[in-house]
Amino acid sequence: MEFKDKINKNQTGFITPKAYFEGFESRLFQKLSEQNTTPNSILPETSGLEIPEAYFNTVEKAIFERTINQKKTKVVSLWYYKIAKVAAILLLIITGYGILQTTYKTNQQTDRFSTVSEEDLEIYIENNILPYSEMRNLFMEEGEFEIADNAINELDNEVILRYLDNELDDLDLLDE
Amino acid sequence: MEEEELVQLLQNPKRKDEAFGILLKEYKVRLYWHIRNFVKVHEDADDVLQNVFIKVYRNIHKFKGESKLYSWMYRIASNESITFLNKKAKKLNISNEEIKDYILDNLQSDVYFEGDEIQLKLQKAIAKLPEKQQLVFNMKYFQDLKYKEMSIILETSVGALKSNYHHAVKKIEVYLKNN
Repeated sequence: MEFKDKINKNQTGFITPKAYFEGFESRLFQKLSEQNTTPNSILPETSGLEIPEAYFNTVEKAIFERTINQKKTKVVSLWYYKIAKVAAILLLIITGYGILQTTYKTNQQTDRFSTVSEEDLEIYIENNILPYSEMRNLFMEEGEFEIADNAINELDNEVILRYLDNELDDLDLLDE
Repeated sequence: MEEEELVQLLQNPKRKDEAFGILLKEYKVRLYWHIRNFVKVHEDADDVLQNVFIKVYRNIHKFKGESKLYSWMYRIASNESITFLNKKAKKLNISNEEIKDYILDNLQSDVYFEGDEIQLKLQKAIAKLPEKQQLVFNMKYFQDLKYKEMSIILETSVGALKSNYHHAVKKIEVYLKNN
């Protein structure tokens, strides 16, 4: 060994790095196995996708915050949500029941209305519903009557007749 | 720790949190890269990764042990990534196909992409592959998973995976030579 080294050193002047041959076999096998798994030299060995420094430490914390730690800090609020959930369900049931009842009653009323005969309705209207003029009077204040009466009294008869002549298509209606 | 033991701990309410810490340490890096190869953008991968672990934490009691735990997690990660991309496409009012081009067009300006021209081209070539071939190529080429592991995760035979990978590589090579 010493002889060979001596020869090389003396003859060519080339030297090798320290312990170069000791690790040569393992490096050679590694390279061979890499070449076997790399399908073609045209393909780059890496994707070029990088990650921020220490990302995998921070992501662990972030996941803990959203799983284990979240569960621990929200223990108090859980019962509140449960009550709120129950209350919301009850409210829905009550509202639903109310709507159903109202619909049922309305349907019943509609049914009753549809069974009333036309004759009965006419009798009811005649006996119970006031004429339009009287109904209107119910909603007019006392002063409003005077204003309306005065406005008509102030109009000239001729003006009224001209208005009626122009606006009414069938003057016979006035005679009815 | 053996997987079965870890699952038992995860399903034990008293030991769940402790086991979840172990699970997180064991799988966060692998799942991150699996997701990142789907969504490409780091911030999106971060969102999806967190959602995946939250889903695992909340649904571990539903895990029946019919498949391997990491196979189950990889499937959740794949589904979450696809759902995320579809939602992103909807937000941007573009199709699920167009979103891939959109992401790749913006990849060059991404601070967490340090790839050169050939690496960018490679990403574009991968995006052109059918979904299954993309998945297989990413898992084999970038994540360096063994066919046997991939077979368990994707529930596909080793032969079919080799064929998928072979076709994917051929298509990528053609794309790289022609573009």
